[in-house]
Amino acid sequence: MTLRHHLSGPHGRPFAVLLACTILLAVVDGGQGRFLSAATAYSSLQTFATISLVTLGLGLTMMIREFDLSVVGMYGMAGCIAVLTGTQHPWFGLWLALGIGAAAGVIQGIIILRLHLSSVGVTLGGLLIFVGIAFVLTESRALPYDNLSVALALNERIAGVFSIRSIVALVFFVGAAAIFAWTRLGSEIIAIGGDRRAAITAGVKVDPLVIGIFAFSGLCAALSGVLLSYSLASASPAGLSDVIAPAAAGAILGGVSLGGGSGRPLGIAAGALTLAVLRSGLNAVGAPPFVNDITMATVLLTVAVLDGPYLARRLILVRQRFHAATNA
Amino acid sequence: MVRAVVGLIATLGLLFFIPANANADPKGKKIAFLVTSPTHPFIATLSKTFIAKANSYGMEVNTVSQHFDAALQAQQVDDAIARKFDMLAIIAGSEQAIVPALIRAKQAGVPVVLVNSPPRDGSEDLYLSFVGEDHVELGRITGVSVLNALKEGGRDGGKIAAITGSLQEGVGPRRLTGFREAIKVNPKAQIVAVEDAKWQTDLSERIAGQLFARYAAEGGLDVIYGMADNQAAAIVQSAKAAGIPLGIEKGKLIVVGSNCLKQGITGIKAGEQYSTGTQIPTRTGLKAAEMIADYFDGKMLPKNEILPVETITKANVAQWEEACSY
Repeated sequence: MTLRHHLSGPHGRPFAVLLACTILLAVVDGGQGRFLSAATAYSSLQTFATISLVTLGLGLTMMIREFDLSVVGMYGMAGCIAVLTGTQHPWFGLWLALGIGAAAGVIQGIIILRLHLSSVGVTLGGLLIFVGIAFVLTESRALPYDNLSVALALNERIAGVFSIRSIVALVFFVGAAAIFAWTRLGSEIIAIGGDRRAAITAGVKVDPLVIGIFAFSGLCAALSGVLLSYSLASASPAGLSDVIAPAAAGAILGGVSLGGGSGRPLGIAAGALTLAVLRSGLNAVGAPPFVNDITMATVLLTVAVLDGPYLARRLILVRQRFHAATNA
Repeated sequence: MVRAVVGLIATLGLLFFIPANANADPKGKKIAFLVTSPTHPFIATLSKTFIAKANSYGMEVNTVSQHFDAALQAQQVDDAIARKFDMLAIIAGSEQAIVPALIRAKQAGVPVVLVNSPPRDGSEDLYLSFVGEDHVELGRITGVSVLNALKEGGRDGGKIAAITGSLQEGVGPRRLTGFREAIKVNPKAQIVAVEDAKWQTDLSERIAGQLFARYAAEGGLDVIYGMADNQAAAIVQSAKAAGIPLGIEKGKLIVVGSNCLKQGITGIKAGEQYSTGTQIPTRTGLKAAEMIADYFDGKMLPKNEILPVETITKANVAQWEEACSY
C-alpha cells in the first residue's frame, strides 16, 4: 500500500485534507514565517483544545447513528458549575462537573433506548434543560473565576506549542484511538452505526454501549467546558464559545458520516485540527475575517461532496469504463 | 533596603504607564484591532472610523473579529501578542473572560486600549486606557428622560418595562443600574418588568408583544425602555401591530431608547419615540485612534477617556441627526 492509497482511503482522507490545508496555507504565507511558526502551532492547538473534545464525543454518537445536541448546553453548564464550586478547590469543581456530565449522558442514553426515542429530540431537550439550569445557577449573569493562577497555568506554553488544555485533549484522542485499535469496542461501535439489528444478532451488547457513548459525550463536553471556563477565568450560562457548528464540521471532516457506521478517533482529531489550523493559519497570514468562514465552508462542502455515495459510485463507474476502454 | 525595593517596584509600575515610545511617531506602527460583533451597525461604523483615522496617522491596522465568542477573542489576543503588534485596541466581548488575555498582554509588554466595552472593575492595571461612554450614566439620563416624559404627559407615575441588551455582563447591567437609580426618585414610577432581549431587534419585538398582552388587563404599560434604538424601533412596531397608541399623553405608550441610531432619530422626529442617548460610534472610533497616536507621540493617556452623554429629544434632535445617522 502506497502513501497515496492510504491518503485517498476513507480513513486517510482526514489526514489528506489536513495536509492539503497546511500546504495551502504555507504557500499563501510565501515563506514569511507567519504560518509555519511555533506561535501559529500553539494557536492552532489552543483552538483544537477548545473544540476537539466536544468533536470527539459528538463524533462517537454520530458513529452509532445518533446525534448529541446536548453537548452545547453541557459545555456551558459544566463551566458554570466548576466556576461556582471550584474557586478554592479547582479539582472539586472539575470532578463535580465531570460527574454531572457523565450522569446526564447516561440518563439521556437510557431515555433514548427505553422509550425508543430519537436522540435528536431527547438531546435537544437536554440542551434546553442544561442551559436553563445554567441560567438559574448563575442568576443569568456571567461569573468571574477569581483563581487566576489556574487560568494562567492552563494556557501556559509547554515545549513552545502545547498547553495543559491541548495536552489533555491529545491524551483523550490517543486513549480513544488505542481503545479502537486494541479492543473490540471500536468495531462494535462501527457495527452499531452500520446496522444495529445485525450488531445485536452478532452478539454486540448494544444498549450498554449506546449509554456509555452518551455518557462519554457528556463527559467530554463537561471537561471541555470546565477547562475553557477555568482558562478564561469566567463562566457564562450562554457558553463562552460557539461549539456545535465547529464540532459537527470537525467530525464530518474527520470521516464520520451522519448516516453512522464510519469514522475513527484519530480521523476526528485530524478533522478538528484541520479547522483549528485553518482558523489560526488564516489569521496568521492576515486574511480578512470573512475569508475564514468562506474557506472553512468550502473545505467542508468539498469533503461532503467527495464523501457522497452518489459521487463515489459515479467515480467508480467512470474508472471502470476508463479501464475497459484502455484494455480494449 | 525595604525602601529601595518599594521604590524599584513603584518605578517599574510607573514604567508600564509611561509611554514606551516617548518621542516616537505613530507612523508605521502596527495595531491589532480586535472587534466583537462586526456586523452590528454601531460597531461597523466605529471600526470604519477607527481604521480610517488610524491610517491617516500612518498606522497599519489589522482587524480580527468574532461574534461574542470569548474563547476566540482570547485566542486572538494571544495571536496578536505572538505577532508582536505595537498596540492592541480591543472591543471586548466579555469583560470577565478577557482578563487572562490582558494579563498575558501585560506580561508580554504589549499596551492595550479598550474601546467602547467597559473593563471589569479591578482590572485597571491591565490596560493603558479605556475610551467610551459611562453606561451607568447613559442609563441614568434615560431614566430621567422617562420621568420627564411622564410629567410632561400629566402622569404622576406609571408602569415601566425595560427590554434590554444582554444582561449577563458589560453594558446592559450597567445601564440598567443607572436607569433604576433614576426611576427610584419617583416612588409612583415602578419598573414592573425587565426582559433580556440581547440587543436583538426581532426578540425585542416579540417580547414587547408579550408584555402588551401580559399588562393589558391591568390598564397597559406607560413606558417601555428599549436599551438600544433598534430595540426601541422594534417596540414601536410591535405597539403599532397591537393597536397601542404612541405618545406622552395619558393612555399612550412612551418609548425611549439609547445608542443614537438612525431608527431612534426617525422615531423621535415622527413622535413615536420620546428620546435616545448619545453613544456615537464615529466619535468613539476617532477618539480611540487619536489616543493611540498620542501614545506613540509620547503623550500620557488618561486611564479613562469617558465621552460625554446627552439626551436627545424632539427639542434637540436636529443637532444630533447627522452624527446619529449612519
